[in-house]
Amino acid sequence: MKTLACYSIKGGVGKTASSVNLAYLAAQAGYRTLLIDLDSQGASSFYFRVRPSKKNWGKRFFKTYEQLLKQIKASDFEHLDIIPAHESFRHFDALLSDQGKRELRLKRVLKGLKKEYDLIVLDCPPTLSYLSEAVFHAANMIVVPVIPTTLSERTYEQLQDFFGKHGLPTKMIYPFFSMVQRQKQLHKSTIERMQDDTPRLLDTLIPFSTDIEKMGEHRSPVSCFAARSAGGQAYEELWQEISRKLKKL
Amino acid sequence: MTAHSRWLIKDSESTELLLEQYRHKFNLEPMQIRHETLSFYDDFEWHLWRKNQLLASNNQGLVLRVDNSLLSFFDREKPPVFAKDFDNPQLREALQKLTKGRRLFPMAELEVEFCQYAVRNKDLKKVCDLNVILTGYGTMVELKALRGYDKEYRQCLNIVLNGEPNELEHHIFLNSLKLLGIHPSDYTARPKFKLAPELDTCDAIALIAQKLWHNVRSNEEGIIRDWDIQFLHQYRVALRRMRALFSQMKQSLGKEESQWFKTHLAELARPTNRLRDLDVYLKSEENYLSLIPHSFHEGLQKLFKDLSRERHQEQKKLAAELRSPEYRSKISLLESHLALCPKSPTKKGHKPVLKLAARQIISRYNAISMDALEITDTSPDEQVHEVRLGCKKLRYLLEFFADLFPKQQIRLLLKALKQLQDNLGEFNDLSVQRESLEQYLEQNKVAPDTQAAIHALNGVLYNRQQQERARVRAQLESFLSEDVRQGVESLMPKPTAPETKTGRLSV
Ligand SMILES: Nc1ncnc2c1ncn2[C@@H]1O[C@H](COP(=O)(O)OP(=O)(O)OP(=O)(O)O)[C@@H](O)[C@H]1O
Ligand SMILES: [Mg+2]
Repeated sequence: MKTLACYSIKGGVGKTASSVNLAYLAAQAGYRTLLIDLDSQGASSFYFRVRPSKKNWGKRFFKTYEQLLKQIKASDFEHLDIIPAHESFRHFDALLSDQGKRELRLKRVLKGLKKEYDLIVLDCPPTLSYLSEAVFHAANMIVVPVIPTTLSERTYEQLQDFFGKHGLPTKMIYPFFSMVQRQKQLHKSTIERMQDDTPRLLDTLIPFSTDIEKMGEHRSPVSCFAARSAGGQAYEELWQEISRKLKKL
Repeated sequence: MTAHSRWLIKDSESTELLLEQYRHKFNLEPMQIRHETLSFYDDFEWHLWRKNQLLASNNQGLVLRVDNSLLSFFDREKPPVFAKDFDNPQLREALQKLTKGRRLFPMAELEVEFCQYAVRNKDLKKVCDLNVILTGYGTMVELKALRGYDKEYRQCLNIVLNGEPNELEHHIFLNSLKLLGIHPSDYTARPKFKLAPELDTCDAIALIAQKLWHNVRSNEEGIIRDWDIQFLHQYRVALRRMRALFSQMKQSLGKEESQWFKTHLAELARPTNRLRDLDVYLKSEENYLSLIPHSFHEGLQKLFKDLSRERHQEQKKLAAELRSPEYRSKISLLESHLALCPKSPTKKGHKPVLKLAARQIISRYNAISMDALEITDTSPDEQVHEVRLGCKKLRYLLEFFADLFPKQQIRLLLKALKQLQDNLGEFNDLSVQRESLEQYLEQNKVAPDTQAAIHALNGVLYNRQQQERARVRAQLESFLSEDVRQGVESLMPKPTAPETKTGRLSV
């Protein structure tokens, strides 16, 4: 079982779009996949039409694996299950801060799922917090969507610094470009610059695509309604690239 | 954890009503609706049907398997002929085991409509799978729960249960085929004779012979058309059993009649010998190749090419023989004699079969024991073969008469005999295989690489044979054990009259 996290400190860069599409494509490829919506906003749950859970279980999330199992919901697609978001995820930090070895808890609980799933996908909220620390420990690979602007470049550097300071291995961070608009000079030059000096930068670019935007209307992964569109193709390519890397881990 | 259930609904009106109720409470989205004309397949012995299995094909790439009640689909498969030809490995392996390599034939057709619905909630999230299969003989409704949607599953379940549907024990396909009047043929490779213990022995013999004869005749067409090699094998087995019957029971039937049958049955078997030998060789190709180093493979493959060419000729010859007027007249002659059998049974022939069968089995067992006692690890092969032949005769007796006795009385003997026969049979097969390879070398102009391959193979077979030989003594020990002997002796029905006599004397 491998754990893949979609993460960025910055909001609105395409973490959720990526989590949803990558989880779907993994399941299509036969991986028994579990998507965990760690963002209390519940965006990825929304795309799969799964309601955020109302029961008060946030407190227990890191306690036992049995508790976790009860939250699992089948998606409409074969091999793909979902743990929907929960409002109380917002208070994770508070919950985690009073637990010993908090940063390892998520990792340990997820371990219990290894018989049932081949791949766990974590859709993370845009914060740098105890929760994200727990995610960094639990993940085998962290993919970071980066919109090619100067600002995004800087936030990406921030993330690397954080890893450095906390003794986390930067080698599991894989950035990729998201919402790329080629016709914009700024995008073009940022891409060229970063392609030269960014380690582990993935080859696939996700273009800005109205089909990806429409996922909210359709409430389903882009491949379900526009597999052949530029956006659909790009995510398919991104999944191929990531799955090759996952296999080597 | 995932709940799953199915029911039978008899008429289409109630099916429509049911769907209407779903639409009322949920969003019912048709995901797939397909009409198929399915051909159902089974082998000559109905191995699939008898194990609650069904195999179907739309003859356009789709193959369906029903395993008890579980339906699975396989795409891009050719219409079934032999299980070994399926692409999907699970399907292939499961069916090879079930059909024992026999050819699959279409046995019935059904028009089927599959409707798959997604039951969705207000968010249009799927909460349950609903499958409806219509066959014209009934409708099967199948409900599958989705993880995390237990409450919705219960609601869906109630909708079905409110209509008070029938529970469905088997898959709707099986139900429909039964309603269509499909049922397995009465042919079985091992017919049950169901003899009454007090039946006259001579009548029992005639009854057994007739059932075996039915098997002989049933296999003719398959041999002529070369459907699979089991037809010939079972044809020969039936003939061999009949000959064994007449030979071992000659004292009940009378020497003359028994001899007549033996001779005429042997005449039917003779022209099939070579073809069966070739079938056995060709079947062992893979095994032989695995026994010798790769460098010999090409040489051996030439041999098999040669043999399969010969088989082709032999098969044509036998098919022509079986179609010939001469064969027909042999058959009618035999059938008229069978109809009149027993012609002039002996006095023994009028004794009840139970007693005679027991006596025969006991004396056969004793005879084998006498021979077996003398066998050591160094006894000559001929002596071992003697025991093997005795075992074969005993095996036939048990096949004819085992049902007359209580199961547990005969179980030990059957088990011990089977183990011994496996061992002795393997020993003998290996020696026959070696001889025939030698013979092939002598009688043909054989290329050097084929010669080398045959020598290599013979070496391996010789070692195997020695290994089998080394196990013989131990197998004989367990066959001669006290338990088995007592079991055999207990087969004799207790004589009532003499006992009272001795009883009176002892008073
Ligand atoms: N490649 C794309 N092309 C066009 N629109 C996109 C693309 N990727 C994402 N979007 C849209 O941008 C918005 C933000 O995307 P998304 O929710 O995936 O980002 P996020 O990083 O998860 O945001 P948050 O930090 O709020 O969780 C959404 O409305 C989404 O539909
Ligand atoms: Mg998000």
